[in-house]
Amino acid sequence: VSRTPSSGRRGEPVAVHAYRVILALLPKPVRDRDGEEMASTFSAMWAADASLPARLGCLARSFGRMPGVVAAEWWDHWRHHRYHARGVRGYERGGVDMNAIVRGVRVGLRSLSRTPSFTCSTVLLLGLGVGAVTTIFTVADHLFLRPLPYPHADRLVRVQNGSHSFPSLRDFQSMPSVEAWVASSTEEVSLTGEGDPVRLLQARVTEDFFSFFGAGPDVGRLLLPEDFGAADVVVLSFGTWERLWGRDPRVVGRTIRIDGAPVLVAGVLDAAFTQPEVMVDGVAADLWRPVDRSHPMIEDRGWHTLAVAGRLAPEATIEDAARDAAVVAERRARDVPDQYTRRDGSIVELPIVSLQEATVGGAREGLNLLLGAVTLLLLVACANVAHLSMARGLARTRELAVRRALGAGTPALAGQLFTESLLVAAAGTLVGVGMASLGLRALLALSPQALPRAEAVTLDARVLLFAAALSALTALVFGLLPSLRVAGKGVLSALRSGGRGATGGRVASSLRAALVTGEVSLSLVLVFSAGLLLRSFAGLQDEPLGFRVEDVWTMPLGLTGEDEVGPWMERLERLREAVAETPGVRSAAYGLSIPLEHTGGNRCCWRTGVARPGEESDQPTYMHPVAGDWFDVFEPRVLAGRMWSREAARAEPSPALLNESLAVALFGSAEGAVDREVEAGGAGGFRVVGVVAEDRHYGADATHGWAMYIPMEAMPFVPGSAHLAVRVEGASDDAPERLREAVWSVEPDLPVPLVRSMEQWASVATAGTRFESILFTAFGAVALLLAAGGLYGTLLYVVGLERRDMGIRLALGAKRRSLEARVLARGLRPAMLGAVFGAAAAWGAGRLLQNRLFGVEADDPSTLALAVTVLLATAALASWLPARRAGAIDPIETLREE
Amino acid sequence: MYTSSDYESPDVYAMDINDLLPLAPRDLLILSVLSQGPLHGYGIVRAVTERSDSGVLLDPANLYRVLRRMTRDGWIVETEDESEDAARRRTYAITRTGQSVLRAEVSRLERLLGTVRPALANGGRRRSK
Repeated sequence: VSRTPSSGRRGEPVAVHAYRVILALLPKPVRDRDGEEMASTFSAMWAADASLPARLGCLARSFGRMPGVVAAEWWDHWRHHRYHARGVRGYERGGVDMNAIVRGVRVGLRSLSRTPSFTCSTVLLLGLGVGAVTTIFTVADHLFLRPLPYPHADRLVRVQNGSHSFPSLRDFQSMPSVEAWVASSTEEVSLTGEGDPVRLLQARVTEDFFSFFGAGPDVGRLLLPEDFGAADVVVLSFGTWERLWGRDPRVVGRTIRIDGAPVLVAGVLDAAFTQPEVMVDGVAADLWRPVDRSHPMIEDRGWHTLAVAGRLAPEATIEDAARDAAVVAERRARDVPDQYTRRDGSIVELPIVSLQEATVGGAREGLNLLLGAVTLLLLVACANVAHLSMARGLARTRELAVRRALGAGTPALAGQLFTESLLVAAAGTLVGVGMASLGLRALLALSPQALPRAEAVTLDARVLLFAAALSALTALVFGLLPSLRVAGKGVLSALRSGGRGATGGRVASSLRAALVTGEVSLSLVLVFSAGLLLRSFAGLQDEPLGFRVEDVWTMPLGLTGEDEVGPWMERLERLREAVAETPGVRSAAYGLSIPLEHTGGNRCCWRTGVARPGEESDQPTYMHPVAGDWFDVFEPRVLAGRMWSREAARAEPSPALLNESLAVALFGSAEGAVDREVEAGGAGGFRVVGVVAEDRHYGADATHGWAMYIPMEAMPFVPGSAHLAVRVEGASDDAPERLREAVWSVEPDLPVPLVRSMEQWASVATAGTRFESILFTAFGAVALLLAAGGLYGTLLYVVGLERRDMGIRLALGAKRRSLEARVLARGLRPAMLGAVFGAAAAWGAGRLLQNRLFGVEADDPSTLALAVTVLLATAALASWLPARRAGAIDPIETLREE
Repeated sequence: MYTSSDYESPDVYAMDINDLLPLAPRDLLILSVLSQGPLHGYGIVRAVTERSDSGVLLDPANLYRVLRRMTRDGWIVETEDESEDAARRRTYAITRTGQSVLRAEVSRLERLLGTVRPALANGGRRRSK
């Protein structure tokens, strides 16, 4: 339809021209449609009455009302531009209508409650996925994303490479990039005179320690500069105050006896203070005291007792500090080469890391793996949500078509689906947060020792926000999109066909197959990882430890107050005899450390070079001084020679047992070592009487390295503690009580904190692996269940849709078996494809697990085969049930339904 | 199964003509002038001005906004008037739907007036006594 030729515009009045110009402000569709008509109408109005008042009125009306019209047209355009353009009937009334939102929510709730099984399963799936991810995210967030709870936490650093001496601390203080240094050492002490004697952990700290970490007192005061003169004051930690004194404030100002010496209680630390884990060995320090500067070893560069932390100067970076530390390391290696250079000439470096990294860095890899695992789980859950939403969308095509026919535009329908998705997301968030709260509790209960800073991990607003965002994203992407896709299509045909046969067409059905494929492959990754970790855990359980675990009980003994080995051993010997005479005890022994006492890379207690006389050792040997019937208690496997008898222990030179790797390294073979002599640095010469097999002293997954067992009598120093071990016969349930009584009959003031069976030690030693294998198994099982559920639900749904079709086929003579086979194939085909993809992905995932595995390869084919089999078997079962239903269709009945 | 009564959007109730009422005076006037024959834009402006005794004065932009809405709602239709000169003008004609809306509004107004008039009459009589 041609419009008025533009030539007519020439010579038109200025007012008309101006009106034409401002019409350009209207949205283009409006302008195109009505612009010319408006201009010509205005022109006619202008021409109709030439009187001044009429023209002024016309101008005022036409131009004055224009801004309002422009705004209204753009508003409509912005909201419904597609419908203006298409000329399809849509919403007329613009504006944000709160009533409409409330109404939308009500309609959504009603619509969701009409399909309770869909709603419940979607909410549960969302909750499960979101809950799992939120749980692990909470832990990761607290460990890695939040600063430690100390002032200037982002500037706190730690000097790694073990502990340092006081002269070293002074060296560090010369570093310009660090403005403050603190240090602490930890030791075990006995508290007596306050009920049963107890063993407590005591931290000795330097002057500014508490202000450095922002600690304040709950009662009394903290340490003052003058306290560092005599060092006979103590600050109690809040927990210890509560546990031992029931929060009695009168203890402040009193004198208590620590290791027999009187010490004044100056105050109690604030309950809110979280002690810096890396500064204190062990779980939590009970007592805080000033460093003892009168200690005879204080100036000894070899007396490494201090954990050291520093605060960077405001402008300095960790790199600056690392450069300064390198300078210090080089200088002191030059000045004191025998302390700070290694045998191979390299200097002992001083690595600087942030305090945060030092605290939680060790957990990073494990948590990342868990985060990866829960993300896979979330994806599997998402795929199921998508399944459900598609199915529901299809089931609703008729409903949506009716609505459309009644005048609801696509935005109204989309808006309603959107509202429903958000409602589901909100419910999913609630369930997810509930699950996360339970999951977190379970996680922390399962493994407090595997997680640093575990006590700080709680759910809070930040995590809630995360869960809500995750849930909304999931619901919208995996819930709204599939239903929109379905809702947008086939509406008319749905009406025409009476809403009977809609299957969403080829696209929807291949989308469903793709979802099944994805689910199966994701699940395979989880199942395979779980399989690897389980095998690893089982391998650890079956790994011969090389010593006896059954019927062995142990207790740490902290005999203090002796400076000479002789009297110290006499006291220990009396204890051993008392314990050995206890009914049911077969033999008793003690040693510097017992097997599995120190696991996870933390190797205690004495290392020195062992070599043939006159030669140099090129690798340190772990020295294990033992006494009593050690070899009867732990029964190590003897490869050559024999044990020494108790009488022979005092012989000159002292007898010694080598482990196999040391014997082979020094003498070529186990047999060759017997009756030879060795020299141990700092302990003199020994005669080798026998060779024992390699054991797992430092953990089931760690080789021992070179090790030598010597009599306690040959030990050149008095250690802070020793460990008693007894082998019992018969029932041993009351062993802890009886052993404690026996100890107290000899040493009434000696604390006996922890009587443990070797079986408990062994279980602690594998706790990390067990923790991970339990979690991964749980994740794998849930993923498997979800994948199976998704497959089952999809097939059941398809069978439901094609009931009529199948009925007709049966009526026309199709075999039930072939119908069943068709359905089965429809399930198994995508599952097999998923297994292929999953196997490739699992192979990659296994490599990530590599260094957490023990005794099983990351690409172990039998585990992979097993995982694939489990998965395909599950898929077959999940497909077979719907297939049977298809086979059971009664053609007469289906046709009668029509 | 789903029934339309579950749906509460205005679109469904829009099927009941009474829900479209009352009409804005401007809409009522436009419908009423169109009920007497098709008119083009300026014709509507002029007729409405006359009919309302200059009480309702239209401007082109607003007029076409209203006409577009009425067209979309099916109250009026566009026709191309070819009888006049070469410059074809778009004219608007009322539809049956438009007629019903107009009638419904007129009868609503009459009913309304019918309920109000006796009161006015009564009040007048009482006052006169």
